[in-house]
Amino acid sequence: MRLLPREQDRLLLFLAAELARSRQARGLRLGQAEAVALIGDAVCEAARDGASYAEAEAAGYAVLGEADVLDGVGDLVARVEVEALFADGSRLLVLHRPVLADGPPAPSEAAVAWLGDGPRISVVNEGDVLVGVTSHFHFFEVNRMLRFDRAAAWGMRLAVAPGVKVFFAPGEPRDVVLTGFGGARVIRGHGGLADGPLDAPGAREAALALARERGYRGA
Amino acid sequence: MPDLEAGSDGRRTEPAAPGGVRLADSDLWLVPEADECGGPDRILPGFGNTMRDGLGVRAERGGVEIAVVGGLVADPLLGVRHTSLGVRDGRIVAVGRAGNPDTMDGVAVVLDTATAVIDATGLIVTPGGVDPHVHWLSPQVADAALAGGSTTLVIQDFGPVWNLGNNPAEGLAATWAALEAHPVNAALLVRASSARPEPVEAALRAGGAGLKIHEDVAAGPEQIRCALDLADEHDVQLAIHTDGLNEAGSVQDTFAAFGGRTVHAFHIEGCGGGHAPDLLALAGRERVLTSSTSPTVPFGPGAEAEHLAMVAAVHVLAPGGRAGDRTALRARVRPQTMAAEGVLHDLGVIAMLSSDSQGMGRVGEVYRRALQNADHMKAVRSGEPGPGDNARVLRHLAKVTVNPAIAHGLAAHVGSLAVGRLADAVLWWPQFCGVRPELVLKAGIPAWGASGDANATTMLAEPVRVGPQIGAQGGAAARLSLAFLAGAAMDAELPSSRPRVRVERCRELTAADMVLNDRVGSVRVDPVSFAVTLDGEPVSAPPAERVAFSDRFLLG
Repeated sequence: MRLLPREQDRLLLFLAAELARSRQARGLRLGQAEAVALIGDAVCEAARDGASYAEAEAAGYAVLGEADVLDGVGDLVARVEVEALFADGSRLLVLHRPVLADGPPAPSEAAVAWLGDGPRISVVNEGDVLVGVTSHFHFFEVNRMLRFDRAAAWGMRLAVAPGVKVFFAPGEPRDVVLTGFGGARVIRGHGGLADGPLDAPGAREAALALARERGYRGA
Repeated sequence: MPDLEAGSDGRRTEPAAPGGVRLADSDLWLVPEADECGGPDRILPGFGNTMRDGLGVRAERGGVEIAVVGGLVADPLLGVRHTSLGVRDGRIVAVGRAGNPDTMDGVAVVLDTATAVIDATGLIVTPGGVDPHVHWLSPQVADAALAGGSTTLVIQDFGPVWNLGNNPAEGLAATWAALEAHPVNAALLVRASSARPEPVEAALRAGGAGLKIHEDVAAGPEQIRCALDLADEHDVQLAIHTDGLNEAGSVQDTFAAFGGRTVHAFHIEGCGGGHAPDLLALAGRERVLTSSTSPTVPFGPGAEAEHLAMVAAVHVLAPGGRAGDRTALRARVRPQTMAAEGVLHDLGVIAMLSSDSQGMGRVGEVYRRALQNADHMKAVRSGEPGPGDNARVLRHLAKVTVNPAIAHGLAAHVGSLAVGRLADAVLWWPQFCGVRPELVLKAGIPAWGASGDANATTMLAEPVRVGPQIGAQGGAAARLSLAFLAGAAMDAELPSSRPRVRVERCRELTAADMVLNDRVGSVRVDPVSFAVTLDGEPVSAPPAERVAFSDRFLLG
């Protein structure tokens, strides 16, 4: 057979699934590892049967329900990742809460939650691509195609939780809330405009001049 | 605004529960006593997150080499807190908020653009376990230990050899050579069941870190006195498995032979061996540091039958086939003392829990059984003043981490995540805590942990196994692991490339040095009924009919 490591892994998954199936056949409710094995195996076998990606994904969600597992086990199976061999080759599937959920989570986008009551400024993207800005980027020196009162954003960042991305679509004005940096208030990197202590005498004016020179809108 | 536990792998999207973090399927809850991670300056690695140059990390050097950020640290010395660990040269150099001090307030763990970050957001971070009772009967024992969260092993034996120590010099050398492949810190005990010091001392000098007396090779007062003289001379610990036959003397005679000198008494309940029926009377004494082994904790309905089978299998007894063997076996296995053992742990009278791997214990279940006992004790005794179950959990964690490190002179280096120690840590998803570690760090480097199909596009495609990581490969294993040696062995010629450190401060230890487990008292075992009392009060608990951290997870 000349089995590759990946195929040996497939056998391990199958063996665990067989153990789970034999226990299920005796009327037992399954534990965490048994449940994961059964779900992973079902996805792989659906692909082997010729299923499409979406059909194999559905098979993974369909294989077990809450009544099939021990109390609390549904929550333990938070995410199952498995690769199956489809007609178009190996594909990764990621199932979310596949015991408790009936299918993949519906796509949704959370609204931006602004933190605190810092200054609010209006921003418009005058470029032609979507621009994303995150919590700890020095807002003064974000993408030069964003037009806003740059001087008012000196030493400020978006007042959002870490990890939140605020997107500016071309031509669409958007209000944002800003907050100040903490710590020693030294900016390095970012857009290369400040590159030093925010509170040094003349720093803001020099950076504004540089911004204007480089075509930053609103500088 | 909820402070989301959102991590880079997308699984951590639930807000931290206000009641705390539940450990697996137990009724044990950790409640953070400080938050040095959350809020507007939380460090998150990943796309569009804060772990980027000029944001959460700085371009000037001066940061730590490795940072473990955002985890819920549970450590007997540090308490229970959301915090980050900074690592340099394999050691923890800072504990506190991680980030960029140029843009963030209160940063203790400075991140720079060379800092490698291990994202522990949503994970529980505990110190690597210290198992003071490891028979290294097969090399895979070290793998099983790592998979159970233990990163420091106090080792006896080099295979299926009747030795109960690592001597002689060739055995020590072979063990150190073999350890090159395993990412665990190691201290080797040498057999001290000898009425004369010369063979013992020679072995200690040849690469040992402590002494071991075992009844299967003699544990009488003469051997004890001889070993303690050597222990005093070399500042090492004596681990003792006492005389179960009461042949050369009873428990009082053994205690007298200690002469007020400190020992570490193994499997103090007695089923693992030692004075029958009353070895447990050594618990609660000022100068006797006590440990249990894994199978009797927590006490369960199957414990008695299992141990009747186990003792005979391990200790070469033939009950019914040879005169006296059945009596010897029966004398060792006592449900009454087993039922008391878990309570004495909960009271902090017994200070440590070990495995006794393949020699009547399970090396990968030390952490798990400590937590199972804590959970069972909460159920049958009572809850304790909060927050949460922090006190009880930390007391039980101390038994498998800092206390064995102290007892064997290793505590300057391992057993805690406090500043100065090696960055040996175990990262657990709360729902798998005590069952399946997610990642085991050795000196800050991933050495063991979860990974799946190696050909896959992600690291965690099924079948996901807990196994070796980069820190376990090639020369990394030894590079990241310490060789603990007695002072007299520090310059021994050894086939070991590990950094060497000296064991120290073993001889003046008392029960008061056992972290969160320092209760002393008079433990008595009734010679007829085997009933146990502490300061005259009965000590017992019903068996755990069903334990947490077990069948909801494991394949069985």
